[in-house]
Amino acid sequence: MLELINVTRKYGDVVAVNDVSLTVAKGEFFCLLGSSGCGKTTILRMVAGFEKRTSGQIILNGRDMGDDPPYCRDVNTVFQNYALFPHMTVFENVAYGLRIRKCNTAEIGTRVMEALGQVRLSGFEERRPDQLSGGQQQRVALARALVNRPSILLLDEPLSALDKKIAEQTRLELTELQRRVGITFIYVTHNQTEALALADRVAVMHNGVIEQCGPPGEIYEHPKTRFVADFIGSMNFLDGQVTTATDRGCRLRLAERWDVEIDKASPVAPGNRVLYCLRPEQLRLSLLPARDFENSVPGVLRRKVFEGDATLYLLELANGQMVTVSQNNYIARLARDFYELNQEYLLLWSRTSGEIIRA
Amino acid sequence: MRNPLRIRELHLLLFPPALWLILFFGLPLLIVLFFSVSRQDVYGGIAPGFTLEHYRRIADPLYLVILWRSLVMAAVTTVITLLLAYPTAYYMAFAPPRTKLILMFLVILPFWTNFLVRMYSFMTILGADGVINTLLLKLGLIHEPLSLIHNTFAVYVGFVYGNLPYMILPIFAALDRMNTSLLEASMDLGAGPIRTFWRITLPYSLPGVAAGIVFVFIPTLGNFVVPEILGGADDVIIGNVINRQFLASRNWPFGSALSAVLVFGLMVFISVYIRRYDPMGKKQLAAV
Repeated sequence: MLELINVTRKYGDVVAVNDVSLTVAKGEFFCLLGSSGCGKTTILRMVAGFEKRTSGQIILNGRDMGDDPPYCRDVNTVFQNYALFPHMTVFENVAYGLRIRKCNTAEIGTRVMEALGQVRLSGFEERRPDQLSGGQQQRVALARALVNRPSILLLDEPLSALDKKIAEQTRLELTELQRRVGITFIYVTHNQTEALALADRVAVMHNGVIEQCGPPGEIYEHPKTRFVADFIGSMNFLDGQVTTATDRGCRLRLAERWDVEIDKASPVAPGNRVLYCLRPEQLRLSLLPARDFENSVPGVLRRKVFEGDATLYLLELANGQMVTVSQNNYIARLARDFYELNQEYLLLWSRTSGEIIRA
Repeated sequence: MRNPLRIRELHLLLFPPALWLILFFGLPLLIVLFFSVSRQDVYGGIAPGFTLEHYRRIADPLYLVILWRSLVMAAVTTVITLLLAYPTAYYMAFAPPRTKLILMFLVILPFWTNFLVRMYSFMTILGADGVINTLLLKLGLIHEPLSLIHNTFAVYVGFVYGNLPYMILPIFAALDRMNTSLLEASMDLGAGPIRTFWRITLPYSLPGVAAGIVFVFIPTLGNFVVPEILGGADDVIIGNVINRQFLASRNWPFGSALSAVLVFGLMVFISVYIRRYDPMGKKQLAAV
């Protein structure tokens, strides 16, 4: 329903959005994820009509929106700072779009009340924005946009100004709300937890381009570029060279000294230099080799970082590289696994773990 | 309360200005009140004894007409100033930071020169052999000098000119703290630029407008310099009358009575006005 074709936005010589193409399906919860300055907000503002594209097409429901001004577009925005009108009551804020469209009073009343009900703010109609908490203001902003029943709702970091607890709660409500109203959401955030938790699909952006686009699980499990692998969650990167490759898997030589097997078809050929990516939670520490973890590399435990539910173990490999291992504390206690600093351990992982990225 | 100081300590901050106001505003006002009910002695001084005859004299149609004319002039001046100041303030508020600074400087620049001097300089602009008339004559557009000075027109020119900064600055301050995302939100919700102005920008800037109106209307009402320098024989407003009572006519009690009426009339106006329009922007500030 929304399609961006080769959209570029330049500010002088600076390319904010570089030849981006993407498609968002009807009813989808789509998330643009990236750090500040990556171009995600520029894309959102181009869809809303606040920014003009330098080139490319932005097609909504089969029609190129061209340079239509914001007030002619069937999209509504939830602003990062909410942008509630301070001189109006909650009711008038939500009714604003309907009044502009000259809906009749009765319809405005019903729809505003319905929208306020959807965001659990019934009874707050006569309050002014400054009499509401941040979370409540955020929900008024949501109701003010939803009441117009736009084709697409654009959300610009809507939870970033909220306390962690409230943001987490609002996150759950937001998914429920989106399923209930069935409106397409395009959600911009720099917070990967938010993106992974909320979205049907995530587009990870970097330097004005989409590095990878797919469901959260795929982004996390199978990052396609070093940036995505590094940006999402935490990741250990090991340099390697392919020694043998078949269509069922390959063998790598890591840091020119350790041979490991990988049970994963990758488009690599012997001799290719690759990055082998392993998540901390895919790794185990052990004194002895274990049957389920075919690959092993020795290292010395240098630091332990207690994080409540888990502990991070920083292991120094023989080539000087530090590798992070995350182990669930509850399971470690059950297994009576205790590790001592400056002791040598084996770093273990399964041949099905990890991703190979061409270096 | 965001301020870490306690209320009691905050009160101390008010002490010096309060003392100042009591000494140089409250006390003189009481003296004026006292004079206004005293008798006039033959040499223009104050004689003992209580009388209300000066207040009775104000009810004379002669003075009521002048009072009415003063109110009209101040009101018209305020309206013209507002119409000129609003677009200027709007432009300033949404200009790039550098332009904003330059414009701000230009608005404040006239304060560097004495008000009287600036009023006298209008003579060289508006006079029969002033800049405008000379130019028009040379261009052959007119054959006789236009009478641009010593009339009501010139008084309005002086009033509007002198008051512009006092109207521009509060409106600018109000618009400047407006977050542009409010305008974007309005457009996003379907309102074009014109409806956005009437429904969002203007209401948002009203506290600034209200403050500007107070800053312009009140000093204009009491002004006597501008009509004196730029006005004609008929352009007498209440400020001139009061001025004359104290200097030329040497009738201090009557001048005091006129002043008292003016001051207390304005006090009533302001207290009603502040309650109605919130020119100090309490609601706005709370929203920030």
